[in-house]
Amino acid sequence: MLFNISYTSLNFIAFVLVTMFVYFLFPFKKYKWTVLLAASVFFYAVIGYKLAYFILFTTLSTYLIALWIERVASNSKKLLKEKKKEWDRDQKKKYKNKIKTQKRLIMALCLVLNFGILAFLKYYNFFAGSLNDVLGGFGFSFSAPTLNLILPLGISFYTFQSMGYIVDVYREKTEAQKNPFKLLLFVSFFPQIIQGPISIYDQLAHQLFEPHDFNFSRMKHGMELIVWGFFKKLIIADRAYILIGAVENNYADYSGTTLTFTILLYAVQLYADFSGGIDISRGVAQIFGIDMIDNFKRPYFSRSINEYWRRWHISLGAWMKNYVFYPVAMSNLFINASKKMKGTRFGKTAAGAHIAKVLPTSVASLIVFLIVGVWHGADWKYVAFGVWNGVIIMLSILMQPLFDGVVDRLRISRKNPVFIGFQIFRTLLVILVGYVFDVAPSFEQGMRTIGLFFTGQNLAAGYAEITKLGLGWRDYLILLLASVVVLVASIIQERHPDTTIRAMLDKKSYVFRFVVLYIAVMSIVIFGVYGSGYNAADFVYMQF
Amino acid sequence: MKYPNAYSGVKKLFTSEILNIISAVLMFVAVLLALLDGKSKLPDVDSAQFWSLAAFVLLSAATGIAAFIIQIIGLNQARRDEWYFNKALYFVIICMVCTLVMTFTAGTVNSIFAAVDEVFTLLVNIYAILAIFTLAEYLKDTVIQKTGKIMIVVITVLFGIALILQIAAGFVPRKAEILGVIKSGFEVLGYIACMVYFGMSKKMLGQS
Amino acid sequence: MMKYQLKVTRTIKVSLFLLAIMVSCLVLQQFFLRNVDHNSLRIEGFYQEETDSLDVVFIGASDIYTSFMPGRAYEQYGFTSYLLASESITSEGIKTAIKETVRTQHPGMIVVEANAFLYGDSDNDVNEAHIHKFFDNLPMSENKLDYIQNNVPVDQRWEYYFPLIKYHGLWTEYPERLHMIASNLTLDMRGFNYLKGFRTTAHVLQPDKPCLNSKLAEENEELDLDPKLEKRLMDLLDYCDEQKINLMFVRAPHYVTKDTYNRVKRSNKMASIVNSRGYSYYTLENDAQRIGIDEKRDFYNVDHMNVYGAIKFTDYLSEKILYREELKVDPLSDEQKENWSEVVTATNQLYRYCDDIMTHTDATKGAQEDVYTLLKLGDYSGAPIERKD
Repeated sequence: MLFNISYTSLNFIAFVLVTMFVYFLFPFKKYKWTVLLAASVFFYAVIGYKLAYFILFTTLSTYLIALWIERVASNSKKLLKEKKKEWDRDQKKKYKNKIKTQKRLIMALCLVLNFGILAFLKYYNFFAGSLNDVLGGFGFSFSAPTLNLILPLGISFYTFQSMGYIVDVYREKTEAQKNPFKLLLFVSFFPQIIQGPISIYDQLAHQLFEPHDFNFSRMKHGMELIVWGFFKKLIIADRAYILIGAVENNYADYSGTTLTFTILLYAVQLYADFSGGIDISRGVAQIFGIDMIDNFKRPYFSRSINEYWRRWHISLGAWMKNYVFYPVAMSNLFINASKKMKGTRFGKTAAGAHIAKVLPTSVASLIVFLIVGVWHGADWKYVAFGVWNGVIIMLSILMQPLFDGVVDRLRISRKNPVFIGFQIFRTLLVILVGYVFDVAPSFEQGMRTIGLFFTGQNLAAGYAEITKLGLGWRDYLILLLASVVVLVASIIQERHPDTTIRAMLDKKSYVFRFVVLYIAVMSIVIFGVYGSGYNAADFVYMQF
Repeated sequence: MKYPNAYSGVKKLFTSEILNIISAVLMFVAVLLALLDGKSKLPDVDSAQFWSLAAFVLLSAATGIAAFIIQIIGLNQARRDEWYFNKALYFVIICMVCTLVMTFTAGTVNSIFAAVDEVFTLLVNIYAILAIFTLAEYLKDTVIQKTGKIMIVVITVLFGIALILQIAAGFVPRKAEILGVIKSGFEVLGYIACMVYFGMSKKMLGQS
Repeated sequence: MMKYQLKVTRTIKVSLFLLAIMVSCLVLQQFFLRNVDHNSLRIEGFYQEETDSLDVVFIGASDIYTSFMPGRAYEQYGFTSYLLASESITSEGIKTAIKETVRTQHPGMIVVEANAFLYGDSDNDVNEAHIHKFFDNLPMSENKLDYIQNNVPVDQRWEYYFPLIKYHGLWTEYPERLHMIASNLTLDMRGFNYLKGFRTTAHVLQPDKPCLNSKLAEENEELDLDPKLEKRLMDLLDYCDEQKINLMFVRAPHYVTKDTYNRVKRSNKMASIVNSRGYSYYTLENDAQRIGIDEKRDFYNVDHMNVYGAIKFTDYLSEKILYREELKVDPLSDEQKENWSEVVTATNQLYRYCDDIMTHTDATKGAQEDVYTLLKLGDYSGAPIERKD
């Protein structure tokens, strides 16, 4: 990094202010998007100019291949029109299939190139290491070399985003972008490059390229969202990370109680960090008149793991649904397998019929979560994380009628608050087990930790350890108070899903708004973890 | 007359600005005399110089207080006809509190309240002008409206510079007196601008 | 019809909010979330002094602010002085302090205690804590900006411009910090520093190593200075030549042991360098015995004298400054004289306070310009101290 321009730095605030100034005063309205492009290029150059050729390659390859696909499609349409009377139905069908295959191959080229780069940079050493372990186990002396590979900034996010675009062009859901610089802006837009959200081209592009005039209300809401993001990131996430980081450094040395506490704190820290960063991104984008997808909808209020993944990292879930889940679930392989199963004796039973029906979706879900797990990192523990979530979801789909039956037989009302509480608690437990694999340094340590949940509790030892991990009682008090504030805000938002807290705040008096925002900002100034007195925790998802 | 309360109130605001100018000029002269003499502190009590300086200071304080009282009365009267005068009155009360605190404190605390006082003095004038602007809208007097817009910008710049000089004096204490003199100059210009505008508005309201 | 008014009131509301945040941050930075210690009180007190009201300014580290008593110097020798010193000040800090002195005071003489140049390496010059202790307490000025631009890495500069960024976490140290914050506030309101930067500890050193002070008078051997520190010394002397500053150097007495003996030799070397450039250098460390410094009584630790030693050092050095260096003393106004008589009283009270502790208790107590100490001084007489030695 040339200098620190992370989202919670003063340099970033200065950068955004300058960009705002230039953008809103830019005299050529039609070309205002170039200001955003220049800012995004500058931002990327400051953070990672040495590896900028990767993002440029992705942009260029996506741009050219999208145009190619579109040309093939438009040429084929032209030809079909010309030959409309000449060809019979079979000839037309054959031609269409040929074109479809051609387009698919071209698209596949782009996917292989770009996912290949991502896979190589992110997973080569993982596979090499695993291969070496296996070969070593069989007594082979050969070992694959490990390389010193550095991940370019935001590679997971911009690769997924641009590949989503190429698939949309293939599906003719969107037109290929003719201007390579506009595509570069879509790929590298600075508020989202570090940790998303992963945007759909149709949803984001027109907002980026349309000129936006200064709007006070939008600016105000954007700033409020940024303040909220800073509140979560600097007061909660970075403070909690002081303890989590200390535990991660010597993971094996800590007692079960300490590890349990760490996982619980991690749940808070991860949400605050990720959602805080997204709020800052969205707030900045909103100032420029761009609405980005909200990546979080109070995920810890989920009543099932399925629901959790519809509320957590929503853009990744949406991407997986559009580009992995549906293609897999609706592929001929699974549809035929389902049909085959329905034809068997087992398939004619109630359970069999249900399983046959949901087989495609449940297996597709497992595949999706395997990919989600691996996307999080190159380690077996992330594979375990993905498998854990995938298996739970798969089993929940398969066993849904059984659960419904039990609930009906016990005459439990699904609106009963106690039942809802039980569902939320159960879901949280499942989530926490998944988090174990995030925090633990390895799969083995993760399994050991789960064992310690049950057999390794020692309150005295835990208390003695926890008090030496960098946080004093005042820090815990601030963590608690800030978390309560976030919880209350989440409950209010949950009860009023059609509006936002910012819109509700607008209806209050100036004095009320002044006091609330003043307290928020001064809390960040006083209680925020920033400056050289602290080791500012990088955004968790920046490593992606 | 459509707005008799506003007319009376603005007349008093006009008078108050004149008194403010006199007060500022008197204080300006006192400080200038002290600086020209080369001393940064007051001369000895038994000297003629002390008493002449004291006279200027006392007169300045007296006219300042009179201006303040007339301003409050004027705003209190005018607020019956237009809501923005009400806001201006609130800000005047805050100015009063700041001035009281300044009297009993020293050092950085004094500087902070002096700066806050400067800000709210500006706000009093802005809201008074906004009130007159609104009345001018009802009376369809475009000249007063246009002049009002210009005056808001002018007094914001003038009092803004005065505020910056006030803050700068806290960081450069050795130059505090000189900066104070320059600050007073800008304040006087601000009062003159307000006085001119209140004079014009007085006419408009009197003829309505 | 109300559009313009809405624009104006909206702008005002936003501006008021931003102003409130700014003022709050400034207040926090100045008073409540600030690393206030005795260095802060000392340095702030310097800037409260009237322009051109000081005859001598002493610059250096703890060696000088624990050794020289400005109140005693004024009472006995009639010249006004101030200790613009900071704990383990760096060599660049010395230069900035001289520039600030020239900018604000124009004293007849500037005296630099040599400590900053006598380290065996230049590590002290990059010690973040020591740099912050001095520079955080300087008001923003061209000299401070100059130092930051030339010496501070880019990613750390925001913390020097806005110390709140570095120290905002000090809220965790409440209520322990309250008394220093109260001291800061009262100093700010009072408008002058009672002890003119002097600080001491009431304790008599119980050494576990033998003192070599008796050998120092004959010690002529020199040891080279660290190259970086020597270069900075040369830059400093060049600057003083340019500005025609009446500068002298001094080395205060220490409880010299085998471990710190090399510093004496470096001091000798520094004396040679400085003398060759036409500046005076008083190796009073070597003259400790001649001054009458009693190694069994006059130190509170190996690096610093207590009030017993300080009073002797003050008298000795004051005579040198007044008579040998022929200091020109400016007359004071009545108000200034009144102010300085308060300083004299406070200094004498402090001496008696420390003497009481050292004579009647085994306690070790710091004594400085803070509310606790100043409150206790009221129990003691401010009459002149008669030295018994």
